[in-house]
Amino acid sequence: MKILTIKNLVVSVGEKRIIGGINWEVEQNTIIGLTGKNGSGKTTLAQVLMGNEQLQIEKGQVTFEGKDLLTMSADERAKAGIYVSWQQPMAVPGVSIFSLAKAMLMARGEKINNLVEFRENLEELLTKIGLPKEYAKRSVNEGMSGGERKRLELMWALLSPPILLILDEIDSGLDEEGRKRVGQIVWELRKQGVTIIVISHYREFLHDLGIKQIMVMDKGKIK
Amino acid sequence: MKKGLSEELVAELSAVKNEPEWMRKRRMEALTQFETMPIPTWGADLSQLKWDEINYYLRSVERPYKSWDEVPGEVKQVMEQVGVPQAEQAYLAGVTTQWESEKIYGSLKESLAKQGVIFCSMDEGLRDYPEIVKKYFGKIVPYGDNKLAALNTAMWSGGSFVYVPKGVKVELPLQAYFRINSERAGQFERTLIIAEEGSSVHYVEGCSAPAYSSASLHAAVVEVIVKPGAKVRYTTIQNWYNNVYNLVTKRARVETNAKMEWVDCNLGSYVTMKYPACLLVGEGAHGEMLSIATASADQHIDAGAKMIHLANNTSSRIISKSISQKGGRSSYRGQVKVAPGLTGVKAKVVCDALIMDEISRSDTYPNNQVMSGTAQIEHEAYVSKLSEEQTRYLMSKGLTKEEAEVMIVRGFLEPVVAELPMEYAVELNRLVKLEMTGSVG
Repeated sequence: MKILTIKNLVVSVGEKRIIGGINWEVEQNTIIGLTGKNGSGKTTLAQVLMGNEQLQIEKGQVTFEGKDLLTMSADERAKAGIYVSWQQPMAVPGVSIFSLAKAMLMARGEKINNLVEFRENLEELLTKIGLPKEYAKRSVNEGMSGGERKRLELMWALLSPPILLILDEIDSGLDEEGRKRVGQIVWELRKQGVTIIVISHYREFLHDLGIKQIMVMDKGKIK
Repeated sequence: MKKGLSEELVAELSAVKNEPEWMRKRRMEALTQFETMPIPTWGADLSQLKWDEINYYLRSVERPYKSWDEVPGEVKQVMEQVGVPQAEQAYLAGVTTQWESEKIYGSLKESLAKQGVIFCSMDEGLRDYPEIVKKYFGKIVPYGDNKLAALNTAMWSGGSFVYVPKGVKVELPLQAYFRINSERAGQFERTLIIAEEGSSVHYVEGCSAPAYSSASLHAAVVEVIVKPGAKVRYTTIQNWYNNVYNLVTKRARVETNAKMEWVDCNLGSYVTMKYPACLLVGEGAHGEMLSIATASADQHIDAGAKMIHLANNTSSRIISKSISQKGGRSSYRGQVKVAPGLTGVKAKVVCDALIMDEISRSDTYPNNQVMSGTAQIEHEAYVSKLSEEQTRYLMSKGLTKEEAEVMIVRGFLEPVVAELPMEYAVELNRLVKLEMTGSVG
């Protein structure tokens, strides 16, 4: 079964055409690597799927689980089960990781009955991705290194596992230990039935993750 | 109901209160001063204020509501939404009936009394502790200070009187609404706080729910005396209805190694002009100001702080956060002054303004007068628009645009909100959401 279908997608940023007609189908319950040179359009594609309204969709259709994705706002997509990690996650001063975690679950209609238990679970997830549990109190991404931000991006996916996970250059800025940990978590999510697209400059990283199906993006097209 | 101000009115007020002669005289002098002083032409625009149309004295029979049932549903509803306790709701609405708080806070009052702490209305203070009041009243803010201080001195009624004896540390915050007033007179409140050597106290006034007022002009005066080694924190949450001119003079005298902290949140009113000050007169004295201002449609909040360094090794810090939205205007106006020849003086000012849309406005008017070559003065000012990138980031995590914006604004205010007592912080966060979205749900 196809979980994601992209038909004849053409996308521009300002005057510049970045994606020039993509046709792509992603099978449910798979893990796919997507690689390509700088500027080939990988991140733009991820941002289109995420719902970045700054990108101009000139043509095409994107269907996710039978829904017309392009008519949905970013938050509707997130709630429908798409999670796109950010290449450069934004700092949100004064908003703690704990508050955002709570808001994320509540946005998905989950009730948090026991805040103490919730905090303990969150701390466990932080430890799992290799961040100190004290980070629960810290502002989202503020004062954190690039690698720490990447780990945190993955933590949000663990907190509320999506249906389709798109990791956009999760490996950049990560040390070896971090990359190993990402690999473990990716496969853990994979075993839970999450469909995963891993975007990276480095084919090696995709190989190391054990991904068999690797697509190449070149000049705004997928090969 | 008579409008405008007159000698007869001042005399009547003083007589009703059965005041000592010196206070009656002081009121009369202040009245003359008020009449001769010019209306401030700097700061917010006061030219539309109709001084002759104002009711300067609301006699008890003229109060807006006599019972909770008469309070408009709109006011009640907002209070419910923001989660203001029932006892406090009645007070804020100006209902003068006796309320639950007598029972709730009775034991607190008792324990304060055992330590020699005085906490009562200013009227009671003048009646029961005339020597202390006479010694300090008008010493920090004399009536000649400015037109509104003169008006307040002539017409003051209500406010708090707090006296903390030497070495006594008051653990729980003293909250203005604990006071049982036989009359509610928020119009020209007069507050006097004296913290003796080595003592400490936290005073809290106001509430985040909109306080309905039938009076269009509020001019409070607050005087705080912080004796050597003492510490006072004064927290205000001001949310007057959008018809009110709120023109307040607040000043503290901070002595050797003493510490004064103003925490000031201005949410409501039509026009606010307020610049709490610290006179750092003793060596090692420290002054601090943490403030929040939110200006929405038709509002102009002109607020800031003054730190006057008058002794060696004094330090001060001002952190001002403002939000302008829906066409509102917020201005920071602050002054740091260092007297000539002082050594070891440090001052820091951080102004952080967030503008939510294209029609709102924010200004910064800093004024530093530093007569000492060795003083370390830092000034940082930031003006930012609500970040679309941050909004997008949070939306990609599943928050709606509105939820994302509320979260960013709360985050922006967090450094100041974190300093508020818990229940106020909760109320303030709800209120920010209510102001931005029209609901707290």
